[in-house]
Amino acid sequence: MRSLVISIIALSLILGSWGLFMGYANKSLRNMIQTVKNEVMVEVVQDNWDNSEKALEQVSSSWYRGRKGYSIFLNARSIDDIESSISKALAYVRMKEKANALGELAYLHHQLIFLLENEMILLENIL
Amino acid sequence: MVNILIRTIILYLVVLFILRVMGKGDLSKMDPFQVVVLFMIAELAALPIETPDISVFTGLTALLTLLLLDVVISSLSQKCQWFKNLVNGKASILVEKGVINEKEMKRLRINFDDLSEQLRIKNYPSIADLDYVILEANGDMSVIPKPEKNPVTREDMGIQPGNEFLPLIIIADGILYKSNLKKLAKDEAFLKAQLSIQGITDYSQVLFCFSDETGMFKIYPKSESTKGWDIQ
Repeated sequence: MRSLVISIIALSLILGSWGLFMGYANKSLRNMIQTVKNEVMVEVVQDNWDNSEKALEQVSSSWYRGRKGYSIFLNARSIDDIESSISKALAYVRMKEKANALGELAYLHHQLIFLLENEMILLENIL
Repeated sequence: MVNILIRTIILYLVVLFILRVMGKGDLSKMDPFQVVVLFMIAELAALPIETPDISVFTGLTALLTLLLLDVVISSLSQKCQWFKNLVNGKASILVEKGVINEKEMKRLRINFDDLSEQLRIKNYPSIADLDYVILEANGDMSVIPKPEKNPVTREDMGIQPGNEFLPLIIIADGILYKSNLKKLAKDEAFLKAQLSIQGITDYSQVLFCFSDETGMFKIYPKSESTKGWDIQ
């Protein structure tokens, strides 16, 4: 009985902290996805480079605020992919390279969606 | 590199915790389910160490889930016989009252070579000497010889056994086990007196000293010779 209680408490702690993190990550990642799609990409298409840079920096700072949590709970490779994509997109936007910036932003958008969906309790993720 | 070291320490401690929570009972059973769980624990603990991409937290979740499943299934097995049979399987009788159960042997894919080998290991070279041979759920083979082939016991011989004590370690590698000495109702003064008779003035000169089932102290001093002395 003692073993049962200890193992339930241990797993509850793990799942509880994961649940709290996912609550935060869900909100934060959705905001980032929206910003990349509706603000940064739109501004780049319209050649508003200053606005797109500001919006992308917002995404970047939002990402790095939650970085510790992401690195504890998520796969390190996905985190690396997103960080290198943010850096590349920022560089393309600063250099005003439209095609490259849009390509990299599309990749970043896809990676953020992938990260969010990868942690959801879905049959395709379980199997 | 240091990260790997820290990850290894964390996972080592987690595995230690899991094995302690699982308990001696679970580990000693070693039924098929237990074996699978132990292999999975080893594999899951190794994954985050070998693969830095996988977070320790992921490994921890998998390991603790396995622990919970193991504990739940063990608890259910204890409370419910049919569930225990479902998870662990049942023991199979291969020889019953001296008669070989060929059907059961075929079902378990055990041939006579396998059976003879196992019986030889158990020190019963002849099947004719046996009443029962049981293949336990954990894969061990239990052998019950015919009554006339059983070893003679003190009871058979009408010999009254004397007082028997639990053999206890008194000194190991120069360290005195005071609690064990106390259990034997002896004190350090008695022990020192006995040691001094053998020319031993300090516990550090003793390699190993224990009391046997008759309560007699056996002393093995630290020297080239491992020959021991007995003290009543």
